[in-house]
Amino acid sequence: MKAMVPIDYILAAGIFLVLFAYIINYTTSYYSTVKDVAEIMTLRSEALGLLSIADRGPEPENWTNAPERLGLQSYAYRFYILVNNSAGYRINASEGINNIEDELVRFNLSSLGYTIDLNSIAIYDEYKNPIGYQRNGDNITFAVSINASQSIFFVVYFDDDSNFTSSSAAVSGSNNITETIYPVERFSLLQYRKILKLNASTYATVKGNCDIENDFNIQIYDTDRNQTYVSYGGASSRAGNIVALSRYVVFQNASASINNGKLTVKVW
Amino acid sequence: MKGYIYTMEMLIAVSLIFISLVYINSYTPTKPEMELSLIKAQGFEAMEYVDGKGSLRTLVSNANETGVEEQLRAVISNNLNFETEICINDCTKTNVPDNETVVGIDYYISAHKSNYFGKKVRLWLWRKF
Amino acid sequence: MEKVLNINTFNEGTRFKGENRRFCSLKGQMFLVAAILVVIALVALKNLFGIYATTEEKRFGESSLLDKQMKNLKNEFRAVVGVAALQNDANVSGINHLYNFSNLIKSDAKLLYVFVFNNATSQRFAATIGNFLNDKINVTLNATDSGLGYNFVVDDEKNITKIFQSTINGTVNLTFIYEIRGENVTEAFRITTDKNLVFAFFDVQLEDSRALVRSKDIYNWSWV
Repeated sequence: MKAMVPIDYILAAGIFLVLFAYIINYTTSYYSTVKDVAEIMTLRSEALGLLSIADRGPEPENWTNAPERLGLQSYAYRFYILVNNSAGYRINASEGINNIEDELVRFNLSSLGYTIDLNSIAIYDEYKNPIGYQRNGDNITFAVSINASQSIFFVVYFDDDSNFTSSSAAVSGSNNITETIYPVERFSLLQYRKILKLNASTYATVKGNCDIENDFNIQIYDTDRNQTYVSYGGASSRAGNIVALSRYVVFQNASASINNGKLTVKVW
Repeated sequence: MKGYIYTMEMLIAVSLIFISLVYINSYTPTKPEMELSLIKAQGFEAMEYVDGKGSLRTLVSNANETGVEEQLRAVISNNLNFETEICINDCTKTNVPDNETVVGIDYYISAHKSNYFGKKVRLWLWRKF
Repeated sequence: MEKVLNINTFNEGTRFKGENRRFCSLKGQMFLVAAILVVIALVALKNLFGIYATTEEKRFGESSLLDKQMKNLKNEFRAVVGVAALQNDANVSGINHLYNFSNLIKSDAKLLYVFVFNNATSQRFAATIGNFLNDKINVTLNATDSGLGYNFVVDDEKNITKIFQSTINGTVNLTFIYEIRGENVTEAFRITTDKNLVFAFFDVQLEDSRALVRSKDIYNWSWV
């Protein structure tokens, strides 16, 4: 007798296998998407944490081998000085108002009431051109050229916890005008001392000490000079997920000058 | 008739799997809405930067909204649109779309050099696409 | 006849002998068993959704924003006090500007401030308390070495100024105690009185639906 072929069983099994394969395919692609998205979110979370180094200092502040928490932020200070070549501001009123080629502007740092790194002084004119100055103790002097009846603002920056070398240079001129010194303002920047210290540290040690799971790179780009100022960390992977975040920052460089830059953080 | 029992059992099995899938996916957690917080943070950081580099205060003291927007355009990412208003209390929403999700931040500027003016820069941000 | 019987007995299992018995072991229940195994696997995979635990990330983002707002406000209060020092009447300017600025930000923040102006020429100093804490406060203000003290109430969105005599030795310890909703808070400041001086203490609170940030700050500026 011929064997009977279980057609309906084969049919049922076939349909079941097709539907089973569809479910497996759907589930696999769905969960791999979830896994991928979750990985990107983890990377982004870490990148956001690294990007906020522009908002806080390191912990502890005076770390040696590696900090427990990265940070480059510090407060610096600035104030305006008004040099007004008009009546009422001339020291010797009888002299009259005339153009002055080398007016000496003087101010005393101690009178500001701050603890100041004396070598951190940076002076700029209204067009953000740096001005050289001479320092004798805590007295600062710089020379400006000012026309009759003209008034010019200068901005002086200083830091209270940095460590720069002196950039003092002799200036000469005469003091004919009483300048007006404006109250000190505080502002936030990426401090040179902290950048230098981080750049000199060992990446693997910092990564381990700060409990950063993924590889990362921190770059400060000098937008004034169009060049990379600092790049710290690994080279980014050529494959896989990479999250990059950036923000614009103000930073200090080796000569205590104040620069505009872009902080970019990559995590992979 | 009895030949369809396999088919019925198969259909019951498949229905069981599909019902489970529907039940499990009904509890799928959604990603938390981080994007609006990030947009706000980006807007605030842009204001902080323009203030930190010494431009914002002068522009606000001169009520120069165009100047503020020019400065911000260079730092806010290209996938965001924004609008600014220098105001005190009643800030108008000119050019801010009604049919988009818009976030707003207030950045206060009180004084510059020897002048007090007490204003805020209201910055609205929304996605371009 | 036999053939018909064979066909009819295909699903009857082992009831009948013969060649058809080898097909009778097939069970439809294996589909159900397979389905149950798949369901168990899906339920187990559901635990993968735990990786979406990023509500902490959102809270971190929003508290960072509060920090930034706090920095902005603190810097601006310092600027207000600094600008007052440049005016002809630093005391009136400071009192008015601080009040106006506090009024501007009161929808975003709760605030308490103490503003002091020392006039080195007249040897007197004025202390102004500004209250934007959404409630009245009972204040005790004492200046040691000056021999003067005041007790008064400052209503919400109001400020009150008291005058003190400066001291000969050039320094005054100013103690500011305030009571709000049954809680007492004491702040102490050291004011130098040998120069013209503006001094300010700020206590600022920012709050949103998820976080609260509070910060205290001091600023002073003196000139001859």
